[in-house]
Amino acid sequence: MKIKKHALIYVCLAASIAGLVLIYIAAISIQAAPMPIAEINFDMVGRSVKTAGFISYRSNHPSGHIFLTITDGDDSIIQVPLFAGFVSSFERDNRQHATTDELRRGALIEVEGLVGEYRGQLQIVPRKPDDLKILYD
Amino acid sequence: MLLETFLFIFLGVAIGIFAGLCPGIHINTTIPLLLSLSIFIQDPISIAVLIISVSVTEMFIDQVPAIFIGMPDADTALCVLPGHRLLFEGRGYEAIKLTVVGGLGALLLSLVFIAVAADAFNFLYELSRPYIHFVIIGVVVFMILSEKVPRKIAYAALIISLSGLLGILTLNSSIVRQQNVLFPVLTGLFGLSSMIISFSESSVIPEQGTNNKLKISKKDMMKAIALASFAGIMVGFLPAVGISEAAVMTQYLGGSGSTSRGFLMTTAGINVANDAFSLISLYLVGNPRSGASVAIQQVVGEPTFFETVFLIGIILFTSGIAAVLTLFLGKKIPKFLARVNYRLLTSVVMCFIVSLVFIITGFYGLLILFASTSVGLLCAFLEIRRSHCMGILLIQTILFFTGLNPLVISILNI
Repeated sequence: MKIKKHALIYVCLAASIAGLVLIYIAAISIQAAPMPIAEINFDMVGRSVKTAGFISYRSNHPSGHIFLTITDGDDSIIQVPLFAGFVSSFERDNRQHATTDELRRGALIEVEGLVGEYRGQLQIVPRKPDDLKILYD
Repeated sequence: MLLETFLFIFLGVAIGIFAGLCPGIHINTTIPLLLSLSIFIQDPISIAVLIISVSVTEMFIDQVPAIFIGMPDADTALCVLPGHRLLFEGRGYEAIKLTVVGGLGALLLSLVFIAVAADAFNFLYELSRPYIHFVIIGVVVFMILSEKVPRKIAYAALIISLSGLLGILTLNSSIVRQQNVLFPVLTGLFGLSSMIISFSESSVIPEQGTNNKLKISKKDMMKAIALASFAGIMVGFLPAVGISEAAVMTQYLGGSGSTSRGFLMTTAGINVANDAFSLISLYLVGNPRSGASVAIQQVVGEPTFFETVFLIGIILFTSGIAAVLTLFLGKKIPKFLARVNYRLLTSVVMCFIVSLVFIITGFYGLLILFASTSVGLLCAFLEIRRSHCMGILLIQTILFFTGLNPLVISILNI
């Protein structure tokens, strides 16, 4: 009985690790779908997308968050909240040689992240520094 | 107006019973449907009444499938094991009764707490926010060390690490839509893994006893209700701390976990107290703290003092109805379960759950279910507390509040 229980423990441990590895492979293999702001809708909440737009509004929160609104130049807009943890990671990450000071009104940015809904408005939440690129300011 | 109010309450109760008994349906799943009814309902307060009635009823009824069949959602995950334990001792009705008493007691006490400390909430919210991750780190360390024996301490660390990694991979990627991802994760960790063990060990549910007296001392009962009221409010205003995290904290820090009965009362009470506070926080701090209160804010805006008092009345009234209905179902369902072949029923429910996971979350949902069930089973075979599986949310919360989440995601490149 004891051997059987030990065997079950090893089987479960192996299955847990195999499951995690497969989920990891799935997670890295799924690419965000590139699309214009106008095509992002509420049906896409929880999905990962990549889009580009001009910053039309920026506000800084005392806790270190930065809230951006980006537009495609027409009527379509979407919110891009940059939470404090992301902001400090973006500042530390020097691959882009950019800082959040460059996220000025009028700057063209490319953002990738999960589509979310906050207070009835759509938002894209970038998760890692690579998810936000300043194309030009 | 009065007739209309009762109409919406009873409609809400009916929807709440359906949502509570059906696995995979949470109040947040029903909200889009409820909001769509606003086209036909002129008075926004009537919609708020409907949302509150669904939310409160679902919260009480949710305990029935969690305890009797082992089907949890995010808020009842930790009730599955102690409830199941009592069911197999022939005291399934007592388990339901404990959740009802815990829910009602915590609701009343939390309203008193809120009335007394209303002015302090804004201050406490701002004060606690920068330090919340230290509290959660402390809880995780305490959870691991509370296993006492070195071998079990290592096992606990292993389970928290595995479930934490599962949380990082699933909650930060888009392999499954974020609003559905907790369904396969929690079903695997707490539901399906428990059912597999029940399936292998028991073929029948023992005859349920006729003595329905609560086997918990008045002192433990009061302690559980007080902890639930306090923790329910904490969940309401502490960012990112959910029902299950609060239940784990009270289990370890407050000692309510010393008995499964006290833990059942506390967890059910946190749910109800949190729901009441989430609604009142709309008035107190102008900040919705749950899916239901976000929906209410959308239709009502920031409620006035009198509207808030009216809605609290609705919560109390609906809680009474939901409590009676939960007790009714709690009495009928175990008798039904005792007559059926439990092994057959468990296999039917397992097939149903796996199918539901596939329908809602697709192939990747099944993959997540496989991994989370394996971690849940591993935890059970290692004979350590199942609450270590809550590492799935605790680790993610710590990473978010320490600002390390972007770094970890970068390293993993997900």
